[in-house]
Order: sequence, then C-alpha cells, then structure tokens
Amino acid sequence: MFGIQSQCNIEFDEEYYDLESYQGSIPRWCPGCGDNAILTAVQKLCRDEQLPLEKTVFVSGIGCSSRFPHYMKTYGFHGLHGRALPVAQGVKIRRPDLHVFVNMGDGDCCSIGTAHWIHAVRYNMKIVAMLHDNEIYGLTKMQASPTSPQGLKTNTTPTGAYLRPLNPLSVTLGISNVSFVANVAEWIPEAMNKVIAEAFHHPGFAFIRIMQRCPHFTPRLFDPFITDPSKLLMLSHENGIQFSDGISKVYKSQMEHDPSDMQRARELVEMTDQMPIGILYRNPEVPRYDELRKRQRIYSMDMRKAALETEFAKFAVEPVTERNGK
Amino acid sequence: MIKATKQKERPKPFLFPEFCKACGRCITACPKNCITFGDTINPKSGLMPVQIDMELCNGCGLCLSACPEPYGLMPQVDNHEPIDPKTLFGEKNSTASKAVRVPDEVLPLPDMNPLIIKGTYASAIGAALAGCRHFFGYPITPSTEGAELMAKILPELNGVFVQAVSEVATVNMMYGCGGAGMRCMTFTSSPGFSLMLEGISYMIGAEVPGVFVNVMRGGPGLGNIAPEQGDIKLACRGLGHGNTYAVVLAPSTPQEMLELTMLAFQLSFKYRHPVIILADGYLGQMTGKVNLPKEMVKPGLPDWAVFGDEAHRANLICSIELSEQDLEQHNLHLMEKYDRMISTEQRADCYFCDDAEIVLVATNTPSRMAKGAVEELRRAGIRVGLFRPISLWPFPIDAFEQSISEARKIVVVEAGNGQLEDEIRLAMSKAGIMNYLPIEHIQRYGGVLPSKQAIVDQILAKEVQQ
Ligand SMILES: Cc1ncc(C[n+]2csc(CCOP(=O)(O)OP(=O)(O)O)c2C)c(N)n1
Ligand code: SF4
Ligand code: SF4
Ligand code: SF4
Ligand SMILES: [Mg+2]
Repeated sequence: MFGIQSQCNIEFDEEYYDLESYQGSIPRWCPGCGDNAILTAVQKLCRDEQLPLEKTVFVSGIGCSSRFPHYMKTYGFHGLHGRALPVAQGVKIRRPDLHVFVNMGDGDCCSIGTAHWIHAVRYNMKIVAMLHDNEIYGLTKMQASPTSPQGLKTNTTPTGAYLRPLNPLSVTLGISNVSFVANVAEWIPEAMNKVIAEAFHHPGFAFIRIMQRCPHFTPRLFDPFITDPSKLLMLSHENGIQFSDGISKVYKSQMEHDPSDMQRARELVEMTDQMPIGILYRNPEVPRYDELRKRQRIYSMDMRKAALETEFAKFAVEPVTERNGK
Repeated sequence: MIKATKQKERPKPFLFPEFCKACGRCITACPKNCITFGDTINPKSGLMPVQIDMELCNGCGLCLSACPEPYGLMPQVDNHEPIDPKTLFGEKNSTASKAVRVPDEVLPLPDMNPLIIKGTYASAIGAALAGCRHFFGYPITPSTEGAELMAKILPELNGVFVQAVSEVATVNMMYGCGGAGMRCMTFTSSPGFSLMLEGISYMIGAEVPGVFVNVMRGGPGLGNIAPEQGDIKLACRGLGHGNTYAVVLAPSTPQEMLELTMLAFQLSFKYRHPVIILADGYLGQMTGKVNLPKEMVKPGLPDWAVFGDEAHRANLICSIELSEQDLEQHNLHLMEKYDRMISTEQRADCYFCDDAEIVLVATNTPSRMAKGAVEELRRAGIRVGLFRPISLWPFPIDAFEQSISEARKIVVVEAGNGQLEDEIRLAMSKAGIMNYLPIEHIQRYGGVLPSKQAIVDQILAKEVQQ
C-alpha cells in the first residue's frame, strides 16, 4: 500500500521462522497418535516465539514419544530410557542461553526415570518438561506403566493392572521447590497451546502432564473424557490461562483457580470424579539451580592461574636442597 | 550429707580405647567438659579414642548413655574385659533345628508332542520346568515376549511375576528372591543388561543364584533391536566390579534355549552363583521345533537361604567384608569356585572338526550360518568344520584344542567386532597354546548377521588363492 519494496528492507540477516521451519523428518507415529498433536502445538510455540533453531534443544528419553526430537529441525537429543531430564540438565547448566525442552513417556518419567524426575523438579532449572502420558508402554508394545489405570489388561498384566496408578500431578506437587505444574489433554489444542506458552515463559522447571491417546494399543482409554466433556474441569484465572468462547461452550465445567494456591491445586489433582485442565500451580519466585550456580563475574586468565596455583601449592613438596638441609 | 556420699558412690566411666569410634557424642553429653578428642591413634582400631579427665569427672553417667558403642564407655568395674553376653543374660541357645538342605526332586513328565515356539518362549518354558516360579523384569525388545509369557503362566503356577520399575530394581529383586533360596530369573536385552551389572556383582559377592537371559541386540547405546553379539565381553569379562565371573551359556536354537535355561538353574544353585544366558535378537524371535524334556524339577530349599523360618534364622546374605584379610579369603573362595566351574562346566559342539583343516568358530545365530557354510564347503571338497562353544565362560578350551588338531587356520564368524575372537585368543594363551594358528574372521555389525554365502565366498576365495 505504501509501496514498500523488498529491496529497501535492510534487515537482510534476520530470518522469519514459519511452521515449516521447525519441521524435521516426517513423523512415524501411528495415525491418530496423540503425539502428532503435541508436535504441532510445540511447533506453533516455536513459531510464535520465533525461537532460533540453533538456540533450541529438544531432549527425550526412549519411547514412541521420545522420537519427538527427530521431528523438530532444532537441536535434538534422543537420550537414554528414563534419563532425558539429567541430559537436559547437563545441557542447561552449561548453556543457560539455550531453550531446553524435554519430551518423555510415562514409562520414561514415572518408572525407570522417577528419581531423575523428582530431583529435576527440585533443581528447578529453566526447562519445559512434557510428559506424554498415554498410560501405557507404546514402543515396547503394550505393557503396563505406573500410570496405567487399575485393572487395565496389558501384556504384562494379563489379568489387569494390580495397583492404583501413580498420579504424576500429585507427585510433582509434593516435591520441594516445585514451581510450575499443569495438566492438559492433547485433544484440546487451545488449552495445550496456551499452557505450553505459559510454561515456556515460566522462570523455572515447568512440568506439563499431557494426556495422550495411543490409538494403537489403548484406543478407548481416554473415551470417558472425550465423550463426556463435563468430566474435565477447566481451570481459568487472570494469572493463569483463559479460554475462548468456543472452548467454553463445549467444556462447560469451568472454575476459577489461582495458580499460586498450592493447597487448592493439591485438592484438584486428587479429585476422583473430574480431571483438572490448565495451570495447577505456578510460583516464579522459587530459586533456580541454574541461576544459583551461574558465574557471578568474569575472571581474567591471571586470576584463574593464581587460583589454581594456590590450590596446587597446598600439596606441593619442597625439594630437598643443601640450604634447607632436609 | 546423704547426697554427698551418694555422689561419691557413682561409678565413673571407663573407656575401652579400642572400641571408641571417636564419634564425640560423649564430649557433647558431658556437663563438666572432661572429655576431649584424643590425639593418638589406637593401634587396634586405627582410630583416635577420646580422653577423659577423671579429676573433673563427677560420675554423672551422662556420657555412658550417650555412647552408642556397646563397649565404648562402661561404668568402672573390677573386671575391665568386654563381657560375654552369656554371663550378662545367661546362656540362651536357640531351640531352632539347624537348617538342612532340601534337595531338588526330579519328576517324570509324560510324553508330549513337540511345540513350535519362539526362542524366548522356549526359555520361559524351560525356566518353569526347572522350578522357577519368580520372574522380575523390565520390558525391552527383543526379550519382552519371554517375560509376557511368564506373566501369563506364573500366576497359574502359584508363582510371581513382577514388572519392576527398571532393570536396577529388577536385579535387586532377584538379589532378594535368590537370597531367600528361591529360583528367579529375568529376560532382558543389552541396554537393560548393562544396568543390571552392579547388582550381578553383589549377587556374586554374596553368592546368590539367579538366571539372567540377555537377548542381545545391536549396540552400542540404544542401537537397534536386531541381533548382535556385542555383550560377550560384558558377560565373560565385565560382570560389574570386582573379581567376578559366572557361567555364560550361548544357545543357538529354540530347543537349546529351553535346555540351557534348565541347565542354568541347576548350575546357579549348584554353585550358589548367577548364570548368564546370552541369546541374540534373532534367536529370541525365531520359531522352531522344541521337544519337551522327559523330566521336570521340583525345587528344594538350600540351607544357606534367608528363608524366613526358624531353622534359617541365623543366615545372613551380604557382600561386605570390611577386613582386607577376610575379603582376600572370600575372593580365594570365589576363585576356587571359578576353578571348579572351569574344570567341569565347559561345553561345546563340534561339527565335522575331526579332520578339519579350517575350523570355523561361531555361536548363537551366526553358528547356524556357519553350519550351512560347512555343509556347502564340504560338498565343494574343502575340509571345514564348525566349533561351537556352548559355554562362552568357561571357554571350552579342551574341546577346542582337539578340534584344531588337524587345522591350519581358524575363522571366527561373529556378529560383533571380535569379542568372541578375544575369548578364543585369551583361552588359547591361558592354555599355553603358543604357536597360534592364523586366525581370520568374518564379522558384521549393528544387527547385520554374517550370511552363509559370505562365509563360503571368503573361504573359497582364500583357498583358490593358495
Ligand atoms: C534401559 C532400558 N530398558 C528398557 C528399554 C526398552 N524400552 C524402550 S521404550 C520403553 C517404554 C516406553 O513407554 P513410555 O515411556 O510410556 O513411552 P511411549 O512409548 O508410551 O511413548 C521401554 C521399556 C530401553 N530402551 N532401555
Ligand atoms: S503405539 Fe501408541 S503411542 Fe506409539 S506411535 Fe502408536 S499410537 Fe502413538
Ligand atoms: S560421668 Fe559425667 S562428668 Fe564424668 S565424664 Fe561422663 S559425663 Fe563427664
Ligand atoms: S561416645 Fe563412645 S564411641 Fe563416641 S567418642 Fe565417646 S567413647 Fe568414643
Ligand atoms: Mg507411554
């Protein structure tokens, strides 16, 4: 309209990233797998935040969901089963300037990786951690996971899972230094997108449990929530996220929940008749390990040398000479 | 007045210096500040016991109750020797009968039609027939199907199947269950086996039986789920820390998966020692005809078990030996066991080795390709044989020496980078076979198996050259 022509654009070294910019190889998840929706949501976040490809890292464990980094064109780290979080912490502690995301399965996070999960929450480094919770082992072909519902028949629980499932939300809310906990369902993209965006801006460890459908092995698992939207309790708040009219029409059971209210958050995740969707808890004030350990100042080469010499001098042995007569 | 005399009668503390751990609890407890940290090392304990200034002491006794050592601080008495509990509490002999070893029973099985099953299934059935009623494991391809079968059959047999939270949990559950004298096993695959090694070292140290079926897959790292033989060095040379070895059995057919699993349980209890079965991803998945054995085992109960009844009450399972002398003795004891395994547990299969000029060495699935190659090369008039070690540790060196007596070269066929070959070289060197025959090899990696044709071609090519 104003006759701007491309030649007069002088910011030629800046690149705009669109959705395709973030697409890595073609996803090999089953058709209808909830992981596809999570991938789309994350790519949207990257585009909306214009995250430079080379400043962004996706770290995963092992599982279907952990193929995530292959499908992003950012840096990727497909790690060890259960160990995605320590790998991500290793990246973050040395390179706090990178945006670090973690994708892990429920077996990954809540079974073999439980110790790492608990301590990653406590370390509270600025990382967005997504738990793709399909309540089953997908990649190894349908074994029970700690989050599988009681009674679920799987290949390792032919008569049904024995125990009540582990609740990743109440566990995380119980860990010292917890600073961000949210719950979303992959089939409600609006809530998922908004929560992931909030998690990205949270200064600390943001834990998002994503209910994820696995149509291949447990196609009916989340049906109660899908067929009866009133089983989901949408949490909105001016300090949390707010839903569009469209969403509010379908998901009528909504509630104001202040994410700074830990007591209420704990009650919400223990509900048996409804599942909360949204931000359960957020406290930006919790100290961060990556911040606490950051170098406070820059040291000159001479200062470093002097520091090393003082340390080594403590162990030095004086050579025997004629003069000291030893 | 009465007070004063009473105070005088209170016994002052007496310190047994060799029992004082210098923890300092008495120092904090003493209201008169008469106890200080010592500055001389006690030659018996190697620690520095505290010192008490008896002049200042008023015998309040607070240090006595603060001291956690049964013989650290005692009230002053005439006899300053540690008191035998018997004299304190009277002799109290256990009324429990001594634990006796209940031997296994062998029960006949009716004739059964052969089964057509996968290798992992055959191994699971073998375990059940060997009396194993306890399974602990963590899913990992390509071993999980064996575990899944156990999940179905063990509850029917009044046994337990537990999907542990990880391989680390798995091996420690086995440590516990084996320690109770029970037959237990796991199915795993390479990355999972790596995680179990720490626990296996403890089991060897504490002499606890257990059977580990490692269905090897492509590595290193996550690698892939195709067959490789990259864990031979782990099983034969690297069972965790310490001087650790264990019998390692390598089946090559579903039938052997069954038989060797049964044997593994027998050896595991005979030696009170873990046993490793190394299979490969192809063998685990491959279906084949399996004849069921004529007998099954009803397990007994060892006398050393921490079984949880009166008779076994005094038993203790541990792998800690604080004194160097004791630990050396324990290692000597383990080494004596290793020697017995080396002299009695070598197993091998020799195929056309008697007159062989070229001896192929292969195990697991690659030995099937090698066998095919032997047949084809024999038809071409070349005198080739196959030596197939069934026990990888101990390496069947005695049979091997015989197999190569007519040979002019050895060709090692393996899905790996020479881990089997290293075992052969080490075994020959230890056996003092000094003039090495030339050793060649045919290797594939990453889940690719050496093909029969590749073996035939390489051998023909070299023979034509000569
Ligand atoms: C040490 C180790 N043990 C076991 C495995 C096998 N394994 C791969 S993924 C997986 C679990 C998959 O379940 P989950 O974490 O829920 O991810 P999903 O596939 O459901 O996304 C297991 C047990 C492994 N790779 N490494
Ligand atoms: S098995 Fe399940 S979780 Fe894995 S890709 Fe298929 S649908 Fe997704
Ligand atoms: S008896 Fe009382 S005063 Fe004497 S050393 Fe012990 S604590 Fe100190
Ligand atoms: S409390 Fe007992 S063991 Fe500890 S320093 Fe005193 S005498 Fe020694
Ligand atoms: Mg899962």
